[in-house]
Amino acid sequence: MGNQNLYNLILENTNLRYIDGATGKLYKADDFHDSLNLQGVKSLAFLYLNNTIRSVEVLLNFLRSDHVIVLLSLGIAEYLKVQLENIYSPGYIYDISRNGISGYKVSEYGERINLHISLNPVNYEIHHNLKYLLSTSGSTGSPKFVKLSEKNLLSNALSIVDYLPIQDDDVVPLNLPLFYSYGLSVFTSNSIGGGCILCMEKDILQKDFWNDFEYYSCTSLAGVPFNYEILNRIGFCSRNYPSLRYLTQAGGKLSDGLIRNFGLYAEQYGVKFYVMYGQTEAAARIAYLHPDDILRKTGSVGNAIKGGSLSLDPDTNELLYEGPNVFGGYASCPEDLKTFDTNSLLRTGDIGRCDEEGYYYITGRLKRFIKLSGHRINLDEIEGFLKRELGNISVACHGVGDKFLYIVHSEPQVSEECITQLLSHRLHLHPRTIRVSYVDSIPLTANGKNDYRAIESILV
Amino acid sequence: MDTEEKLQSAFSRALAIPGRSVTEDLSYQSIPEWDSLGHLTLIEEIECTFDINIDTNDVLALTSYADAKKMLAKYNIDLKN
Repeated sequence: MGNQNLYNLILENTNLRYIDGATGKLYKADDFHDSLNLQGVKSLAFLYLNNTIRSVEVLLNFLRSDHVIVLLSLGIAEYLKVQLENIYSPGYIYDISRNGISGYKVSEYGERINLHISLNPVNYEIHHNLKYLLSTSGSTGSPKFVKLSEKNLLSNALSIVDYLPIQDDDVVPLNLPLFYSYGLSVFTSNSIGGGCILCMEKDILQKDFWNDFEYYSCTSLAGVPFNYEILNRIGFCSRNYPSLRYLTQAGGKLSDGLIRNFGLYAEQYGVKFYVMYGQTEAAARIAYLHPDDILRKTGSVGNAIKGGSLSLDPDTNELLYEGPNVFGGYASCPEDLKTFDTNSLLRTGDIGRCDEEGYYYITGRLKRFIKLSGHRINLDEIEGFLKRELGNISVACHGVGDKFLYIVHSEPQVSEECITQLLSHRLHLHPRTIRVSYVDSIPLTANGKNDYRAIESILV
Repeated sequence: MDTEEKLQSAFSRALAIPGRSVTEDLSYQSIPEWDSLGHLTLIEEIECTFDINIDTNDVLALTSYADAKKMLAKYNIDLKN
């Protein structure tokens, strides 16, 4: 890769056009080149992105700059945004939901973009390899980020271009959030190797999305398991989309039944269906199953992407990944930005097995998190949040499958509604995914920690 | 409970919002609770409440409370009852 960087490769892709889904106008990456005129010493840029053309323009400008890109959901509650900003003192903030931010001046670029620039930039040491900070959770506003370098993202994007049938006459809808590692990887890999990228805010439950999908002759679609459940419910598989060439799925385990449905659909219409596996800690992609194997090896994540390798920990069967896209550690405070680990081994926290033909399967999880509609929810963070908000109550969070977040507490004066509302209003978790139980006392282990095995037996 | 009240309470249960928030102009993505997950829950709730199978096309067509009322008529459910 040498001195290659993502931004230069994007500029070199002469077939690339970003379509503004709101107006139908087409833009080249070059049209946005240095449009924000970013200068100054390396600092953090908090980008609360949606999937509009403006977000893409902002992202491209920061890709070109030296600044560290911190990708965040626009939907984080405002008070959590402010908490995060107080911890990290970003030099730049892009957030269309706020007109003014205390301590920042607004810089306007035409009528399109307002960037908030710090009045008193805080200078602290940032490791030269650090280029991206990606959130480990959707909208919980956690200060914990995954540290990624330019090399991490670039090598991963190139590996994806290597195995996905990305072509220069593609039209790819940006239907996953740009701030989410999978959505970002759709953006980076197609910006390097693809054709048109349709930038829009519509989702697959809106008729307008499908009107656009047909109007622009879209060639692929990406989705987390929940998106495939929606596609299934809206009868996606009963129709033919002549322009569609391939589908991708990542962001958690899709049920074998749905893999089969979509696998059969793909076979019938000559579409390729890619079931993939990854983590934000690997700049998105780790493994994929070749589409020809989808019905023969249903449920497998296949094998490692180009440049990486998979193995199993001999003692625990934890899935281990090694590759140039493995992250440089976590950051929870500005102090952590000084360092960037060069360890290329990632302990995924997932338990796996490998069949006799070398195909990997995910069978369980060591880490304490669940995925709800594609968002990773760290159970310990939710516990910490509830303790902070409710006066240090005894509470345990647990997940069963990736369907529900279970909250077990032993505070008679705290109501179920109170907990549900707190989680839905502040953290934007859907009330329907939350199950609250009251118990006399939370089971503890011998050393006084929550005993999640015992808690699970209460729930099931 | 008449049909409209049943529909209102199906919305209220599915989206986990108070009954008084279920108004004519309530629509998809107009409140955080009516997101994609809320939508699928709502479809299920309406199906159970009225014992109907909502057609795949109607899953996309139902974008507001007013739409839901119109849709029920299509499934031969009379709002006057």
